[in-house]
Amino acid sequence: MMIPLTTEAKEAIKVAVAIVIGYYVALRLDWSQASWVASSIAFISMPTAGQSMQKSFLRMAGTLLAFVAGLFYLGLFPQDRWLFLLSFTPYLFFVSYMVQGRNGKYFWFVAGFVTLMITTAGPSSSEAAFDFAAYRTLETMMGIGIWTVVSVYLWPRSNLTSLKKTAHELLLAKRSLMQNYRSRVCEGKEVEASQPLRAKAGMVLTKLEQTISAAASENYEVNEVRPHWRQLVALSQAVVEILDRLEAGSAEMSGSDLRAVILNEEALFEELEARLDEAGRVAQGEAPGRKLEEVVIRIDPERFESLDHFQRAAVEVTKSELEELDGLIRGIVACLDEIEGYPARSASPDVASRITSRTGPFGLLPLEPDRIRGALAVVVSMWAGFLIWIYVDPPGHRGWYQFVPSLVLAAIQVPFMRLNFLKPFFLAFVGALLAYVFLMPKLTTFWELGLLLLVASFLTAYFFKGLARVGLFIAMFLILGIQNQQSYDFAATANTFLYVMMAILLVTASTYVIGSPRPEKVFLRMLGRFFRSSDFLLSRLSEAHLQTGSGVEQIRRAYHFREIHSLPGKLMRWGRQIDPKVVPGVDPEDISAMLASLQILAYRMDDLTEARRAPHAKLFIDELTQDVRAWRIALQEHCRRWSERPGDDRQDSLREQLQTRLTALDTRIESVLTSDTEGRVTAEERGNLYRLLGSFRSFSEAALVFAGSAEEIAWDRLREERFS
Amino acid sequence: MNLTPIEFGFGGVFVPPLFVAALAALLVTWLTARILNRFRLSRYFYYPPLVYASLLVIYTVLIGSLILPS
Repeated sequence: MMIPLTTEAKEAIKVAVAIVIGYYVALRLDWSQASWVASSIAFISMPTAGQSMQKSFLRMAGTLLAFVAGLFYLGLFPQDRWLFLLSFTPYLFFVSYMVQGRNGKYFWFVAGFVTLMITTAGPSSSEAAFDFAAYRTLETMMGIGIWTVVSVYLWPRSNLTSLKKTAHELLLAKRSLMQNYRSRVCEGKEVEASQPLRAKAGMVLTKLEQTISAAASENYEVNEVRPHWRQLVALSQAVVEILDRLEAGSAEMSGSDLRAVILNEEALFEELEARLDEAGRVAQGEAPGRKLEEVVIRIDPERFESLDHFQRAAVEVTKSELEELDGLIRGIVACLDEIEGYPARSASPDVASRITSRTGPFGLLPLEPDRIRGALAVVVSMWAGFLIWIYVDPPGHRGWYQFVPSLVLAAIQVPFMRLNFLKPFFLAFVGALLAYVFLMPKLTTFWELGLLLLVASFLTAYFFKGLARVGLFIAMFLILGIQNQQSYDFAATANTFLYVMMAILLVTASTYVIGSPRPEKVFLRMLGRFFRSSDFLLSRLSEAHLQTGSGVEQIRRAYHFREIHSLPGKLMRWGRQIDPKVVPGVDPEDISAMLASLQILAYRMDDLTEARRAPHAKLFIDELTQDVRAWRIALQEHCRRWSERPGDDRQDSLREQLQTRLTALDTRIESVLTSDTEGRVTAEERGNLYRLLGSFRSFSEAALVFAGSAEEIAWDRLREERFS
Repeated sequence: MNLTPIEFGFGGVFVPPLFVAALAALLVTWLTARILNRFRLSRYFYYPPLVYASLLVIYTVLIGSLILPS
């Protein structure tokens, strides 16, 4: 009778079998380091064939780059260690910077640590370096080959089903978000908060992104329509963003009079939900059957005229956001049509151009400070390890130059990882040391060794995940040191153990050199950066800066735009790391609420920039510039203060200031419009003015929400110094 | 003064006194930091990681020269 196996058990068996085969082949062919084949298998093995193939490709490409780069740098200065190190530093910096990017992380990681390995083989002879590099490449390829065969023939798993399922989940998540908005804002019902729904949509989006790449690696049809899948992800992100904006703007639209100005909001949402349902059916394999209805958003002119200017501005902003949402949902339906091989029922909006218009053509140029910091840490650790090796030469010897930066290269990919990553490594190495001392000497044939490897690999792959799994595999390959002529040296192995622990301690200590890695400190630093960037971008709304500006100016703008858009996400991740037990008085929910307001501020900054660049009537520029300027400068002052000490401004006094400003400006606009007896202002210019005023008001409202949520946080406890 | 090197033996594995002193200092420093955190005294330091490193050095020297035999 067959024993039913869980998916996890099957995956663990596959990994264990492949590792044993890998060791067998390497030992049989008497290759340099048998563990390289096994380590290749251990680290590329993923649950599905597509994911494994993708990772295999990245590992192979990274190894090939390392092969060339390692030998190149060794060949440049084979007799001069300092010139070698100086020339190698920019390469390692570049690789470390790229490791922290979005694409090809694993490729750059392999290119980094394998180059470090190859360059350590240099000191003995150039022949040894070439052999080392060639064996490393050959054994990596063998590992990939073995894993591919095992994963294809033993319980193969495909990504295709998962891809369709995730796409459907994403459509459902968006529908729920939309329904939540509709019920709460349009119908005024009491419904659950949208935060968890948004978080879920974000998670499904990330999963879909990963599954697309994996499925495209294993399936030709998916690869063919990959651009449409990518477009679907971009459109979905834009839908979540626009719903965020609409929800944030709902405070300004509160009041039945204002909501009633838009006549057919309900009908629009009904149509949008029907479109998402239709897209879901297409995603599940049904033929398209529904025509997309045209819904033109209608404004009640009488009610609109009865509103004050800021209310009109809020209506204008909401209308343009609803139109954008309509276009995005059309695009989603079109994408799914294309993916399933049907003619698209509608054109898809160009989401990428929206981002380019914000940052300009220099969007990709500015370097990211967090990534520079990480890359510097790797380079400094390489120099420290090298100096320790040359001048102190403790146990580990040249391993200090190779292992320490490799460890930092891994650590910078998980920035929250701190001292706690010592524990799984320590336990893994103790376990491997015990096996080395008590079990290994008793084994005489490969079959006995194979059984030990099979059991150890199965247990590791089945019971452990993440860092613990990596630590156990590294310990197994490093400590057991399996070779054909097996010899045992307790002192050497104990020294390896000691040096690995010391290296981890050094890496941990070095994280304190450039600022504290404590989550609350990083959080405060990032919050400061967010408001400094907001201050800069607000300053660029002035008349003097409206022109495109020089290349440097555009790079600066692009840098600050990227900062305000990337920092809320980073802050969210770091905010979750703040332990309320360690920092009492800081509730994770308060932090989460405060960060939601930052996200809205970032969106409002986009709106402001766009609205400011639109053509404005000369009459408005002449008459209203001073008022708008005063408003902008007041906002800048707040941003500057918050970059130093967030939480210092009281929401009540800010609201009062805003109200006074709104009333004064409303009267001023009224008098300017009344004075326009010759009709010098076109309808478009009037609309642009409303959009600009609406954006200023929305930005101020978001700032008020920030000030309110910041009041709930015990900033003094966050700033307080303590030992980690 | 005894010029013969002294080593600590653990089950036949010999380690230098400085290593033992450093391990003991690490433990005592960790304990000190915990106590300072517990009573919110660490907020009076400008940069605690430097204090931690300094304490580690001070304890290593003290334990190495006063407690361990040389």
